Amino acid sequence: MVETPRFIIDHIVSDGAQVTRPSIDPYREPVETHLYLFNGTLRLSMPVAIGGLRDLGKEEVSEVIRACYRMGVLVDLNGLTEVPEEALRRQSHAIAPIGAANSSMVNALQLTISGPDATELETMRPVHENQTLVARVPPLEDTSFYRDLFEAGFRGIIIDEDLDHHDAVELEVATSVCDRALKVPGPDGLPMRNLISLLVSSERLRSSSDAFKLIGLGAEVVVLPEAWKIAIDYRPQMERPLLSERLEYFLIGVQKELKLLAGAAGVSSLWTSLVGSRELFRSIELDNSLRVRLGVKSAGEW
Amino acid sequence: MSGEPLEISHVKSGCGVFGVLRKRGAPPISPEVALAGIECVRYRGSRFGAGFGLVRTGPQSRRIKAFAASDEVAEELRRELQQRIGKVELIGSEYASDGKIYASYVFEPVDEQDHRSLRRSIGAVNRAFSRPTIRARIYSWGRYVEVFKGIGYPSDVYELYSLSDKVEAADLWISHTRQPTNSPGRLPIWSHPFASGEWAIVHNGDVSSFGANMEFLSSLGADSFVGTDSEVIALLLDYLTSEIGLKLEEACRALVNPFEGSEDTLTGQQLSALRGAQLDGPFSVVAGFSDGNEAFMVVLVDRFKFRPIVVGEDENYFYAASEEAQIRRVSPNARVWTIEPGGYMIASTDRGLIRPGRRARELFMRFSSSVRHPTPTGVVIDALGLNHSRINSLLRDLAVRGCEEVSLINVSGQRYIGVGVDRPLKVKIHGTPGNCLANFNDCVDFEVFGSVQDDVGDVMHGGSVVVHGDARDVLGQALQGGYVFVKGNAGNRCGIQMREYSHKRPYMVIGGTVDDYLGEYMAGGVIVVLGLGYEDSDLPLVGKYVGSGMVGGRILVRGEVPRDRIGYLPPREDVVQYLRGLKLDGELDDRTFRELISAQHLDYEILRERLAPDLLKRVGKLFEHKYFRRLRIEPVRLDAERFEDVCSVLREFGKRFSLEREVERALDGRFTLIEPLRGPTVDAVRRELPKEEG
Amino acid sequence: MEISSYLRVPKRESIEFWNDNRIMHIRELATSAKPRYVWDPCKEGSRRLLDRVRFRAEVGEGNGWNSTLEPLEDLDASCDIAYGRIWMAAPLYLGDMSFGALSGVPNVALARAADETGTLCGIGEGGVHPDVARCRRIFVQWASARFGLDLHALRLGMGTVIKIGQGAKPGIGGHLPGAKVVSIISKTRRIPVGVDAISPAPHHDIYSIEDLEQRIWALKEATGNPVFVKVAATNYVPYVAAGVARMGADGIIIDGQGAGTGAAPSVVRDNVGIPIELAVPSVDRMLRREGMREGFTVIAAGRVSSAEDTAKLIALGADCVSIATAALIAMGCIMVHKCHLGFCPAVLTNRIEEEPKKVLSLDVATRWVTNLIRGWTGELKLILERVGLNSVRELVGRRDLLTAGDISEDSRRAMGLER
Repeated sequence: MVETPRFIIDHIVSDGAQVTRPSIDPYREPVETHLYLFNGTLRLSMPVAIGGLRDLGKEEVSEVIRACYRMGVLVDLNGLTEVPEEALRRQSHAIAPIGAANSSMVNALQLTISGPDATELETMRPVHENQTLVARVPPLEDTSFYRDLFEAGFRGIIIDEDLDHHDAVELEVATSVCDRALKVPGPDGLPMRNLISLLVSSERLRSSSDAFKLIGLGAEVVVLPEAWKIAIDYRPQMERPLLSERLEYFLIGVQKELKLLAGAAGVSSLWTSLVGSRELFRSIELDNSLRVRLGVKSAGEW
Repeated sequence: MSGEPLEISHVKSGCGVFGVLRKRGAPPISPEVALAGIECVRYRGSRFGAGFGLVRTGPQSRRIKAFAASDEVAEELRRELQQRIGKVELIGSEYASDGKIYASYVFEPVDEQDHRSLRRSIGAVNRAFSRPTIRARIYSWGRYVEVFKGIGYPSDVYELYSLSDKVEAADLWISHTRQPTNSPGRLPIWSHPFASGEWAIVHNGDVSSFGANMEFLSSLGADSFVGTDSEVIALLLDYLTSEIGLKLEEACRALVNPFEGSEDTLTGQQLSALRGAQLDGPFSVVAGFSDGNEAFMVVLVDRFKFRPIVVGEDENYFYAASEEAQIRRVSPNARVWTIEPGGYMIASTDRGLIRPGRRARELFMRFSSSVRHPTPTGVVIDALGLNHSRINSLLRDLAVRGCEEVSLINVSGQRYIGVGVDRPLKVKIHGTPGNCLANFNDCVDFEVFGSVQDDVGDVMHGGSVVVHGDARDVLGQALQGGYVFVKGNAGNRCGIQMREYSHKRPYMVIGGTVDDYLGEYMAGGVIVVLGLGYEDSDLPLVGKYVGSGMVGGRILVRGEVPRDRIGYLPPREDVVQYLRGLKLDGELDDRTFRELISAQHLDYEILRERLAPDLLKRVGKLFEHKYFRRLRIEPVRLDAERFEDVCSVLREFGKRFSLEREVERALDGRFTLIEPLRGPTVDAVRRELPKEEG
Repeated sequence: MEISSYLRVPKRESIEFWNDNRIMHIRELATSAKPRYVWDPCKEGSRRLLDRVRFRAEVGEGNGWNSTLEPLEDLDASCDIAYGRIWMAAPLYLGDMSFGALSGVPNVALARAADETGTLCGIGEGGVHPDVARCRRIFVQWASARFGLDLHALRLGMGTVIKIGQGAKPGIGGHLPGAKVVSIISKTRRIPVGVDAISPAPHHDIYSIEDLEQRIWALKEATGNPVFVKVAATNYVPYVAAGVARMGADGIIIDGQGAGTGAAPSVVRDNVGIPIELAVPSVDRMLRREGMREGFTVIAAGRVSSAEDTAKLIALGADCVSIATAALIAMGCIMVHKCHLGFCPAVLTNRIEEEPKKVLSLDVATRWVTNLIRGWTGELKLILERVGLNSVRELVGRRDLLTAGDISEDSRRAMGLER
């Protein structure tokens, strides 16, 4: 590896297609990054989402919501006490926390579940029929916990590494475990995994390549609560048009890098071919037992 | 590697495929046909594996077939099977094992079970016999479908099973010769066809979605894999049709997964439900299937068409093959056509052609069937039984001795014809030359009475190639001198990287139509698509992504080219979403918004026409990148002054094919000119935040 | 002005593989043509796996290393390059840097040095520079864009390299902006002046292993020369190598992660591909298992910085190594990473102009590279002596001579080493 590795993802490399299958040039040929969440009801242009809005001013939050809507990108409103007017007008592209003002009016409603013993699991019911329930959970290595969420009626899971739990594991491990836990037959003969959307979030995520690898481990959307702020040099009270313009270019840049990585691996559709496709990845210098928990092979192995 | 579960290892392969299906009323197909169709491309495969599969309709008894290491293991397997599905009889083995290779054993269940529980039982048995290493494996268990496969070339496997003596004619045959990148041991289980239930498939490809596909199948309960993408394809077809209950066409679409915005794209809901069943990366698949009443042949090809596949039909049969020469071998006058990128063909014994594999039905009808052969002239060489080295050394010798004209007759699939001939010569080819005709050509004039296959005229600097039939994919790559004329249709990626230099300018003229990526990366020269015979049709003469990445040269297409077929555009949905956002923000008026989204082609140029510069700059970022080049798209008439060179080349084209009148009529009509706009490129790059190089 | 001396290496803030010690070592070889060390001291403290693997001989020597520096007289370093059996004086291949990426003089210097030292020089994808065309020991590259190639150019070399991928950017194409396509570049590449030169990401005639076979034999049919295939070290490289061998190629060049280039998208450079020291042993093992190792040449590339690296990679299963960045350093490269900008201070990768103000001295550059190879070979002989072998060929695949240090269990197994 070129840089000093800090996290598990830094020990994982992606495939480069050659000879047996061609790579794809994303500048001249299609590499699809779009996806659908919540049983096909919400189309997103790319598998990254923007979060970390808690400390932003009201106007800035609105600016972020507008920019993300134009870009077809999901906004994670976690931490807000009120669902902004902008989000209500564009609600399909936002997930709002339960309890926030106006949250009964959004399509995707998020409930934080502190862990497998949480009482909310028993009592939770959607406010209205069309509302999708999303569970925000700490990163746990607990197969039955994730299946219980499905049984309790949740149709989305956000594994949030910034939530504390005494049994919390690394996000990489939790993502892979959750993805595999849900790969069992569900109702209507379809895989349970295909009936629920998996999102992950962590303040430590830096870039498109982090997102790409987490997608390979099973996430459908990777929320970046901090990376975008660093990339666009966010400062409080920054000029709003500048904020949205830079955010849009950041998202386009991330999308291009995702396409480059997918194209290099000979993948032309991220959502259908890459999500949970651990086979495309290899680990380098990772502890053997950790690697097995991730379900990834080591470099040099065939 | 040792210690890892078997199903994780991924066995990669490339190959040659063949399929033939009987039409209603036609005589059943003998196994010799399946052999002839695959043996003529034995160079695509290797001694590492081959196989045959058949489909029979009507009342049949189920045969469960397994490879096993010995009679004892076979008996053990029978007992295991019997525990799960009731009484099972071992009928015998199909060939004697010499101790080194596994023998194939045939079993017959006494009681019939339903499809699902039978499949579950087969999976459980296979799993039990695959740990720690494979001792036995059930590879075919259909009532209407049966597989014969082994180690060796197709003819070896044919002999091994004594197919000509022991096996009756059938409604459908598929056959395969295998070129593995890795051949684990000497087990026949990795040979094709792969079967699951009433499906058997042969496959040429290396699917990049393999991991996702396998996990999708596991989550439906599939639990034993030998670890190849080909097996996964057979399982997917079986699970989607029998477990999830999709119709044949729906299952094909789910696997092929046409790009968003195509006619056949799956809805978000369908994709959500079936995510993981889509194939990505290169594949061409020929499959046989039966519901007992009719037999189906299904052909699938990937969205980029990275693998060769042609289909054809004559009075009695439908065909599918890796190379045209295979079909011509068994049916010299069949009509042969190509499948579009991301397309699928379905034909059945009873209903004939259900899907032709080309979305516009009329188009496939215009592919060439047989080509008129004039009397051979010059020095005549019978190419029957000659390999390419022999042919080329004869050509080189003749050229050195001052011979001017050679006719090669009975050409059937020989590759590299003309490679290395570095003195002027006229070469007339009668038949179907193999891939890589006229590569590196500098001074030889080729004329082909028949169709040509892939990679013709790569890095050609001079001379000419004149084709009286059709051409397949990657025609004239990096063509930089001389001319290439095709009377009929051409395939994917024609004229990519064409370029001109100094006094040399190459020309490519296609009489019919072309598929995707015409003139990709083009840097010089001229491509003309005439669409002769399509004058009255509204169908576009070109596929998608015309001139994508084009930096020089000219493309001329008769008539109008839909603008969304030119260049590579961001997804329409994304552009519409951006405009929708601008409208909600109050920055775009409702009328313009509605005009734009109802426009047929939402490309950069229409945004330039309709939007104010500040808004264009904002939406434009979806289109722009550091390599973005605007193209000039202009309706033109080929006036003698501006297009003098093109007109004389087209007249020459008319003369060569006796199509003078048709060409003159085309010259009177309108063309669409596509060429790069010169001048500075869009400055979008500098505005981008994340650093990017390339 | 002619450049004929080394520039001072500027201070660098981040820790780099090519640190000052490695640069100084190469400069010492390039100026003296004599061995400097037996065991390379530059590996100390490095994170690279290859640096953490040691020869048992060195470990056994304790602190007495680097005392004797008198190399053996003779070195039997012939590499069997089948299909013509090309003899090499040392297992060194000067790797695949194109005219265009380098500014002309360095290209000629490398080719001449290969002729003088009996090694080989891969010319990269840029057509054949007229002065390079006069050299004999060159490998002509057939890449996705086929720049500057025709029958004549293909037949100039001793062999042909089909370039599929490179370690710094597996699966990614190339793009030379039109502004850099000046007259001489246009001539050698046979493209119009001022028009972008694009190399597509894949070869559009090679989508499969049998397509590759078709191209290998088309090139053999045209040239009669051996054909090598250059690939990046990626996850499936053992399969790729087995396929390449089975399809009739004479050898493979495997380019590891972290290999140099002037221009690669960093997201790909840092996240795609595996280190050469993991790729080589797994390729070697796969080829042996399939019975295809005999008569097939494996060239290892990517961060080969010393004779010790060379010896280790050969012990892990390669026949030969490719050196590129090290050769550039020998010609004065100071690793400022400005290659793609066109104003290289060492005038190696600077923009090509009709009448440049500064040029590299061809004679000096040739001597530097020639010296480097001689000094390097000297060090290699010393290592062979220490491990008790008489020839490089005996070293191939001798994993038993190496010991895995503190590397992970997975890596140790992949490399086939004992602790």
